[in-house]
Formats: sequence, C-alpha cells, structure tokens
Amino acid sequence: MTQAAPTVDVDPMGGDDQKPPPAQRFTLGSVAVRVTVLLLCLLWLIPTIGLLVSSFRSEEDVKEDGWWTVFASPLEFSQWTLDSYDSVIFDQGMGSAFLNSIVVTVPATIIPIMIAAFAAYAFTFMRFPGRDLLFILVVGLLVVPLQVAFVPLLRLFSQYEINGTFLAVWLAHTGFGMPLAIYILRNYMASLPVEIIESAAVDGASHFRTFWSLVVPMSVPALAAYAIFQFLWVWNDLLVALIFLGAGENEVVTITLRDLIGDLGQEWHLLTAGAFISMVLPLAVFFALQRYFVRGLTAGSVKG
Amino acid sequence: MARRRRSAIALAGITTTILFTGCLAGEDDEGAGETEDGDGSVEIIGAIPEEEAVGLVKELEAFTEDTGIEVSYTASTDFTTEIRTRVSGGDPPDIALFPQPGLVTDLVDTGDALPLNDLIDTDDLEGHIVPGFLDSVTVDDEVYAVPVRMAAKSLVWYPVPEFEEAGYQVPETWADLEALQEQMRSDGETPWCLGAESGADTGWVYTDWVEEIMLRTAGPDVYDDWTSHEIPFDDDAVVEAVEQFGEIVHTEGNVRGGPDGSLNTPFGESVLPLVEDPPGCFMHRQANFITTFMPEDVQADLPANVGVFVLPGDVEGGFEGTPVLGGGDLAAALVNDSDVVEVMEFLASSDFGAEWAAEGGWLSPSVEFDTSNYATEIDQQIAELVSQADVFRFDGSDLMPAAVGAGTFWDEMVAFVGGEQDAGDAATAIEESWRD
Amino acid sequence: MIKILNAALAIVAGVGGMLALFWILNLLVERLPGRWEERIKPYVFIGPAIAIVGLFLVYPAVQTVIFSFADKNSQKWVGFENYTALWDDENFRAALVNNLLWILVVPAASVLVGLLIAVLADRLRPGNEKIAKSVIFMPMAISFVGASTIWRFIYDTRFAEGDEQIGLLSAITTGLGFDPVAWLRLDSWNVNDFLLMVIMIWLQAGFAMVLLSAAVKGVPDDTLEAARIDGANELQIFFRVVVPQIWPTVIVVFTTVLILVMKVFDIVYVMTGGNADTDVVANIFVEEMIEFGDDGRAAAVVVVLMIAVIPVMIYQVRRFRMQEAGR
Repeated sequence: MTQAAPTVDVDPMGGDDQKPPPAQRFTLGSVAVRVTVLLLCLLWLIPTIGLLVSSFRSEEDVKEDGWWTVFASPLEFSQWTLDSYDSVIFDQGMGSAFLNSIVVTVPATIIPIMIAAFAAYAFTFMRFPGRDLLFILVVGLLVVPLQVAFVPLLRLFSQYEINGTFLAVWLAHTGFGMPLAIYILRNYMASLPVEIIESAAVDGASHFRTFWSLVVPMSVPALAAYAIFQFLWVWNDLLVALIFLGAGENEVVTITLRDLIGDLGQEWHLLTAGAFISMVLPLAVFFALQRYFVRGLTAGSVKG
Repeated sequence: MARRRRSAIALAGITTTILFTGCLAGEDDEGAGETEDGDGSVEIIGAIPEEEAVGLVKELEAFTEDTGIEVSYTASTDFTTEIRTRVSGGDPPDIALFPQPGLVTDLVDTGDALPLNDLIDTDDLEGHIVPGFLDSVTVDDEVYAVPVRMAAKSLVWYPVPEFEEAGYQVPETWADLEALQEQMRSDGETPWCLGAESGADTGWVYTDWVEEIMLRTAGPDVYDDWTSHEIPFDDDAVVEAVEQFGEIVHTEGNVRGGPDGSLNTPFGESVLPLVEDPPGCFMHRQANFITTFMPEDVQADLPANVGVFVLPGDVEGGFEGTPVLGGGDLAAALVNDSDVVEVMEFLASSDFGAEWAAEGGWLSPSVEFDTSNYATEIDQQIAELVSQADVFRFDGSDLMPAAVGAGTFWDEMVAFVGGEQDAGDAATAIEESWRD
Repeated sequence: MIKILNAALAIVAGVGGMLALFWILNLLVERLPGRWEERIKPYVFIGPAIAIVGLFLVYPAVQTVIFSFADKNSQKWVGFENYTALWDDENFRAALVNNLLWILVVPAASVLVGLLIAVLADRLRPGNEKIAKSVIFMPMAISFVGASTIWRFIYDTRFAEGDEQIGLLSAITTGLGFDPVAWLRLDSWNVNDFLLMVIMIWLQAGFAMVLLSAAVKGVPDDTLEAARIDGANELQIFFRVVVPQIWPTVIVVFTTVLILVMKVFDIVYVMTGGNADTDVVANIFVEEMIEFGDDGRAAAVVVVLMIAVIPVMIYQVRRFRMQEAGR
C-alpha cells in the first residue's frame, strides 16, 4: 500500500448530494439491504428505547413490570410522569454537576490537542536523533492502563495541594489523552503533501510560522476529530473524576449518576433519567462535528 | 540501527537507576507524633450516604456552635477507593469514618492511622462502648478508632398483621425457627425473602448469614479464632456453618425465588414482598437500615406493619444464649492537630448522637446512651433487643483481610448458593486465598 | 456563574500559557547560532508532550514494574512472589482465558457490524443513511454507568412465582414458555461472557462504522467500473476490489478496539463484579489495588497486561516503519 490515495472529500455519515445513483456503484438486492439495515438499527435502538421509556415511568412501575408493557396502551397518560427528571435535576444536583462536567471537559479537550499538535508536527516534518524511538514509545503507551498512574500522580498533586480541584483533572486527562492525540494527529499530518512544507522552508518561513499558518489550518479535520474523541472520553469518564475530583461540590455528571444508583442500589429509576440527561451534550457535540470526525481519523490510515 | 538500539538500552538503564534509588517507602515510625495547632477547620469523609448523615451534620453543626471549629462532612460513595488513594497520595482527610475495621487496621499497618491512646481518654471509651466493639480496631493494646454508629444485623423482620393472623409465634430458639419454617412451608407460604444482588459487592448478604450461624453453632470464641485466622477457614466448624446456611437457602420453597432468585434480586428490593398484600414471604433477616428500603406508606407507620425479633440462638450443641452480630462506622484520625483531637473527644463521649438519634435510623454504640433520645418506637425496640444480647460480635468479613472479606468469601458464597461449589470446596478455596 | 467565569479563565490561561511557553522557547532557540537552532528546535516542539507523557505514563509504568516485586505496601522486596501467587490464583488464570475470548470476539465483531452497516447504508437514500448511521453511533455517547443501566433492563431476571419480568430477554424466553434463566450467571459455554461482550460491541460498533464508512466511500469509482466491465459479480467486487482498498482502515479500527478491550473493566465490574467466571484482568487489577489494597499484586497484574500487549505494539511499530518508508 504505497499509493497515496487522495482524501476524498465526502461526508461518510451520509448526506453527500453527489453520490452517483446506485446503479453505477456495486449493488445488492435493495429490499434485502433495507431489511438488514432496519433490523440492525432496531437491535441497536432497543436498549436505548427501554431506557427512554423507563425514564418517564414511576418508580413502582419500573420495578413492577417490563418497560415494553407501555406499548399496549401508550396513550394512557396517567402512567407517564416526569418525577424522575424532576428529582434528578432538582434534588440530586444534576444541574450543577452538568456545569462541572462542562468545566472539566472543555479545557481537558483543548489543552492536550494543542500540545499534541506541536509534537505531531515535529514527528512528521522534522528530523532529529531519537525521533523514531520517541514515537514508538508514544505508540507503546497507548496500551498502558491508566490506573497505574493514579497513586504516583496523587502523591505529586498533593504536594502542590491541587487534589480535588479542576486543575488536577485537567492535568490528568491531558496526560492520559496525549498518546492517542499524537498518534492520530501524526497519522493525519503524514498524509499532507510534503512539498508545501518544503517550499515554505525555501521561502524562509520558520517552523513556527509554517506550523501556524499552514499545518494547523490544513489539519483542522484531524484536530476536530480528536476533539470529539477526547470530549466523549472525558465527559463519560468516571474513574479519573472519582480519583482526582471526588464527590462534593465539584462532582461531575458521571459521579452524580453513580450516586443515583443509590448507596445500596435501589434508585434505578432515577438513573434512567440521569443517564438521558448526561447523553444530551455529547450527542449534540457529535452531530455538530461529525463530518470532521470521520475525515480526520481516516486520512492517515487510507495509506498503508 | 545498531546505534539506535544502544542508545535505547542506555536510556532505559538511566531511568531505572534513577527510579531504583529510594523507590520503596520505608516503615513508618510508631506513635501519634506531635500534635500541631489546628487551623480551625476539620474535614471528615465517610461512607455514610448524605441522606443517612442528616443527623450527623446537625450534630457537627452543634459542635461548631460550641467550639468555633468548622467541621465538614462529605459522603463518599466509593469510600474505599477515595480513602486509599488519598492516603497513598499523601492527602488524607483529617478524620475518616470507616465502614469496616479491616480498612482501619490496613492503615495501622502502613502507619497512616493515629493511635488514640495519646490523644483522648481511651479507658473511658472502653468503659461505655458495647463490649466486643472496640476489639476490632485495637492493635497491640492501642485503640485506633472511635465507633460513631452501630448497625445491628441479627434482626428478623416480619409482617405483623398477617404473621399474627396465621397464628405464628416469634421463635425463641433455633429449633423454634426451624419448626416455624416447616410450618410456613406446609401452609403453602414462603418463609424467607433473601435477596443478595449488590453489584460488584454481591455476596455480603450471604457472608452475613454464614457469620450469624457460625456465631450460634460454634460460639463467639471459635468465631474469634475464625476471623483472626487462628483456625483455618476450612475448619469443620466453618464448613458446618456454611452447610447449615445451605439448608436455609437451598431447601425447596424456603426462599422466595429459590437460590437463583436470591442471587438476582437486589438486596434492597428483596424486602418489598414482605410488606405487600398478601406477603410474598414472612421473614427477612437484615440489618436495621432495611426499613429505609420499605415503601413510604409502610415507613410512615412501621409498628403497625412490621415486627422485629433477634435471629434466635440456643442451637442444640452450639452456643447457649443469643448473640448479636453487628457492624458500624468507626472514626479514625489521620491528621494530628488540636482541632482533630477535640472532634475525636466529642465523637468518643457517651452523649454523642442525641441529634442523630432524633433523625431516626441510627443506633448508638454506647451502652450509656439515653434511649429516650430515639425518635421512633422501632429504634428504641432495636436498641432494647441489642442491649439484651448475651454477646456482641463484629461482622466477620469486615475483620478479615479485604482480599478474603471483600473478595473470595463473597465470591465463594455466591458460587455456593448458585450450586457451583459445595461447602467444603468453597471453604478450601477461601483458605487458599488468605494472604498473611 | 462564577464557575463559568473560572472555566473561561482557565481555558484562556491554560491555552494562552501553553502558547506563550512555545513562543518564548522558540524565540530563545532562534537566538542560538544556526546549527544549534536546527538541532534544538525539534525538542522545543516535542518537549512539552514528552515531558507530560513521561510524567503521567512512563514514570508510573516503570514504578509499577518495580512495585510488582515488592509487598502489598511497597515496603519490602519479595522477588517474584506476586507473580507466582497470580499464577497459582485460579481466578486470575480464568480471567486470562476470558480476556483472550474478549480479544478474539469483540474487535472482530465490531469490525463486522461496522462494515455491514457502512456498506449497506451506502445503498440507502442520503437521509435514511444518516439516520441509520446515527442510530448505530449513538451508544458511543453513553457512559459505562448509563450503559450498564440500559442493559439491566435487558438481562434482569426474576424467579419468584407471579413476578413480572422487567428484563426483555427473560420476558421473551419466559413468554415462549421456558423457565427463567439467570443470564449473567450462566457460565456454561461462557454464555455470560458473551452477553457482556454484546454490551461492548454495542458501544464500539459505531466507532468502527464511522471509520469504515469513510474508507468505503473513498474507494474510487473507476476501479469498481473496471471490475464490472470484466464481468465480476457484486460479491466478487466487494471482496476483490473494496476489501483490499479498505484493509488499512480495518487494521486501524481492529487495533483501536483491541486496545480498548484489553483495558475493559467497567462493564464487568458493574454488571457481574467478576462473579460466575466473568472476571477479566483489568478488573482484577482494580480489585487488588482498591478493594484489597495489595499494591504489589496489583502492579504484577498490570505488568502481565503490559507484556500481553507487546505483540500489538510490535505490530504498530512495524506499520509505522512501513509508512515512513512509503513517504
């Protein structure tokens, strides 16, 4: 695989209007196609529908019988209630947790991307001793379970008394997200035409200028793609938040969710509403940025 | 290529030498050390969830009024994780309320928990705490924690109206209990509700049962030998206790939903059938907190709906008398300053808990505590039952090393109930996993 | 409100600070004589990232290796005791086998489902394609805590007479007249392991689909046309033309999911706690470190995990070299 396939500018989530009519591409029986897709989608949707339906039922109903029983009489409005949402948002502090999650997630997404972009540029366009070794080290670190870092980091953070602050979580996520960020960004930058960079150098532009005025704008898809990845990962993370932030006034959505299960596991009905609230923002971010997400990640891998 | 490899080896060599020098933590020296001046605020974390800690917070607020020391309590839902990481990370809270003595003794081993003999009057403490309670946090004659809450586990709940209507009698001895079970089964009723599902902690309900039986069949002395590993875990006495428990859970029609139902029913939900009409079962052995899981209309008038008795003792050939198994939360000091000492003294006094008792759902570990402080009839009744007990013992799995008490003991009992292990093999597997 | 301000401040300070650092370092380096400038500059670009990775991952990883030869409080050397204890631990050996199963099943299944949707949805009208793909992707936005709640409404079983089932799977099977089954305790033929893997596949298929979709769309039309003119049928075209061209993407997806699977613990921890032979290595690590407080044994578990992923690393490194050679 040495041919450099150009990155095709399509939106893989569909919706590109230039798609040739099916006859020109490879075709399969179109009824069979529709049925298969429909079945898979149903399979994928059922669990989430169960959650959605359950979140609008009363505690007794949730514990009494299956959520699918509502479809026997969906119009019986007495069975629908907003109690779980009410309780989650107003009594359980989901509102402030939601805000905390945003406070944690935004910097923990932006900062690692910046640092990784510089490193990826160096790995791609600069030659220096130890380059390959360092890159191999980064790739190797992809597989180190992040739990190993908890105790040493806590020791370090407590020396500077930042445990339980947002700063601690930002730093931790920056560190844990770095290998994947470098890996993805370098993969993408490797697919950029080298000539542009070289001609910039001939024109006397410094690396710093080339980086800012050429490489960063060209890498926007990859940057956005990684941003979504890191965003989803940080937003849905429970473990790092638990260790470095803990419960209390700074707690994030996932910690609140876990508390909803109840100390003794009895509050499942609340968890359904909580889980839904926590999904809203990641889904919105995903839909807003999805086209970048796809192109950025694959560009580097289209070549062998 | 060769050059690159050499530099890699050199690099690795350098890093390991740097890290190897002084990488292991030394043994900590004994004693509480110097008491520093406090800064006017004390941080307490604990495993008591917020809704159960309302009374505690009031109690601490009253203390702040009197002394001017700001005391905050934070409930941690993953207490073990939080305390371990904060302590090893060098950022411990001032005081922690431990749900298990085993965790306290772990911190004693690492030198993180402070011995209290130098800080407060531990003789006075030993004088008024329920006998047997402090043993669990005493290491080499030094006391390391103050009990702040007691849970009585050996309680059997029953639906009063239906129980009496059916003409059943509260059992006085183990034999009575066995006869009662048979009678219920022949009446076509289910004797027990016994749900144990508890996520990653599934198994503790079963180990509680085994400990209850162990305490009754082998007696408190053998029980102590067992929890301190003086006798092996697969001693005949233990295997017999497990088999005895098996008779309760494996007997056809004795437990609602059978062993499978027991394994899959969340322990908090398993009490619900007891208070339904008609009841799905007639007895449920669970600690005093179980009332908080009952439906609100039942909680509003507990005495009319549920009765409670102590799981009977006097097993033939076993211990003569009625033991009570319990648990509790214990406050250990992790930072030595004058404010912390003052808070610890307050926690250790026999009148601690008046506010908490008024909130309900709390039991004092002190025998001198004034029972008129309790808000509800049920709380007073339980306090009464506990004070009549012949002997008190701490939850055994909390006394064992965590790898057993919160590990293999749970897992093997789950496998035993599920029918994948017999009692002997389960006990042997636990014995093999015991790390000294 | 203050929080939002703080967050905004933090973002500005963090990002601005980082930028300023790079800028100042860059200025300093540019003042050096020419040859040195070229030598030092790469390290200016790469320094912060390597420093962070070193502090947050390399140092802890090395320390873990060292601690794995010490006792539970990292106070005494115990040689290989932790490793022999692990090897003697039946539960750990079972977990290794389970991990192997996960590794064999989950990445392959995620790639297959992702590919199926990627190829088939490509045949639909754009609007429908978007809906179908969004549905498959949706689970990615769900945290593990949420996911485990969702699946509880699928796998839950009740056994007492007269209780309604609230788990879908049991409702279906009992509806068909079978006895209720405790799904997650069903360890014959590893049924319960597979049920847990389904959750992971459900979460990861969207990721695979998105990447593979892009690759499938990237297959140039003229290659397809050429094959058609040669008279190849649709399946032949798919396997001979499409698959070879998207193979690198398949590898990337497979590897990424594989690495995730090696670290999987949340699903097992929340759903079964590792009971009924469902334990996996990462869950044992968390148990040892957090619940049992045995740092030595926990470290040894991680070391085993690190050794297990060496083949994956070697493969990654070889790909990297090939890419380098191709540029």
